[in-house]
Amino acid sequence: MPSTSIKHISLSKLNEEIHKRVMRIPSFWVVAEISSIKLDRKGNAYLDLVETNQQQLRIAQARATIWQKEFAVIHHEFQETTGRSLSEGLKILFHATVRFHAQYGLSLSIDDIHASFTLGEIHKEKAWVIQQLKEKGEYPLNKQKVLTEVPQRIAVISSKEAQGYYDFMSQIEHSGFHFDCQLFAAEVQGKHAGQALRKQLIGVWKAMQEGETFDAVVMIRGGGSKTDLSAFDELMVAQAVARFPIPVLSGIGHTNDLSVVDEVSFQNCDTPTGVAKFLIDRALQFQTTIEHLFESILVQSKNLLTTEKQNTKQLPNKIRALTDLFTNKEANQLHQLRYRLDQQAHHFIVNETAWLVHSKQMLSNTTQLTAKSRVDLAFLIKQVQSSTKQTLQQGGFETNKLKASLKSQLQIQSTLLTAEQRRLADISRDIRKNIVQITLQEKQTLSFFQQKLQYLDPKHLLKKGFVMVEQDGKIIKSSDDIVIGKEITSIFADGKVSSKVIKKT
Amino acid sequence: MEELSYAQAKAKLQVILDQLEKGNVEIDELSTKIEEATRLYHLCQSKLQQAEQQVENALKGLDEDNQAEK
Repeated sequence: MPSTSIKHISLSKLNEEIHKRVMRIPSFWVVAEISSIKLDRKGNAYLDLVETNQQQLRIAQARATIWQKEFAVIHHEFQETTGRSLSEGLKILFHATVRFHAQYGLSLSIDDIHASFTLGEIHKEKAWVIQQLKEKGEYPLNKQKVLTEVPQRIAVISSKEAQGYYDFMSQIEHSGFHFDCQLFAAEVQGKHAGQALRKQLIGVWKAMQEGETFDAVVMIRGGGSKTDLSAFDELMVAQAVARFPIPVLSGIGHTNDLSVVDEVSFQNCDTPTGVAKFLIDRALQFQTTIEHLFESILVQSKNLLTTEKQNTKQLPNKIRALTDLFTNKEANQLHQLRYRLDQQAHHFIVNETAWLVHSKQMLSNTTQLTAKSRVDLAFLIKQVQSSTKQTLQQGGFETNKLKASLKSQLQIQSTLLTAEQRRLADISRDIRKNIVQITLQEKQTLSFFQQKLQYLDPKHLLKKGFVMVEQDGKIIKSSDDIVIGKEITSIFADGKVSSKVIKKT
Repeated sequence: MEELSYAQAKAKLQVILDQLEKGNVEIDELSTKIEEATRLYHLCQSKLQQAEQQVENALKGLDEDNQAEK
């Protein structure tokens, strides 16, 4: 290789110079984002750190190392404070010293990380996501869904091997209730967890489109480590949960972790077992309600039966009492009718008897009179005959005088007879007159009855075009008595027509 | 069954007419009641005519006696 006159140093010499100068650079607190992090077998952590501008373009980058003896302490404290592992995408505030290695070049040696800074950054990020959801009106959407009283068809989004999934299924299977759970397996940790969760939510939605029915989606994250909940704070995941068409029940991490998904889900149950308990409690509550209703029905049925038994026991007495009341009333009425009838009959008999006695007396008087007249006349005739004979025997004296006397007597008797005959004729006429009056009165009464009967006979009215309506064997006199939906029978003069009542107008 | 007297028949007729007027009769009984009322009416009418005839006959006998007296 040809030598040159230009003054120069070797690369190793340069690196040595750089090393010397770098060693003079003091340590700094630096803010950067973790681009990648790897651990070697010894427990040393190797990080790539970047800084991006507002357009997300990288404007700086550096390698860094956290040696095993610092990493254990730093990482534990970081997890305790932030609930997360040191992982890609986290912005950290770290204390570093610049190192230069002749072979590996420039790097940073991290000896401390300010975890509270990262926590603040995480909170800022979550707050931003929540603000986005609220601004778009998506934040309350899933909470507004309606959950069935007993959700039994469940789509579960979880890692299949996760302890949380095992805990959830164990609780469900030992609950004594039937749940139909279908797993939509998704990695819930790591860089692509957010995408995986969103993909499985879409998978549930597609299954529903193809005819599957789910009452709810359960989104759970395996228990154990408190870290790596970041996927549940991602905007796209939270958005998918908020907008999901059926209720999403979340059980992510531990009870003191509240992810954005927890905030927007229909119900935050804190943990996988919390979700199982929520579902079982709802089933239990429903069962308890049903049991109470059943017991209530039993009690009411028993009460009803007891009441009915008592009523049935009392029924014969009631019937007896009512029958007695009815028969007594009827007997009383009959007695009254009988009394009235007796009174009327007695009155009638007394009147009729009196009239007959009177008539008989009249007739008797008349007969006696006529008999007496006949006797008198016969006696007179005999006297006349005797006198005539005697006179004739005596020589025919005073013949003319006797004749005149006889004539006079005959005229008197004749007048008396005529008077008696008139009286008899008058009596006969009076009797006839009374009889005619009585019969006329009775005829009028009967005629009135006949008219009444004709008027009351429905056939008479039916012939005129009126219709009689019957329901359940009873004549309907008012539309109020008609029961809607039942059959009525319209009775015409020449037949019957059955029809059903639809409405009253 | 013993035949009813005029008064009994009339009373029964009156009762049935009252029932019909007040509407206390069931549809099944209606035609029976009307028939019975009609029968009672005819019975009353017949008895009245019979009584009228008997009285007339009696009076006629009385008249004949009177005529005979003349």
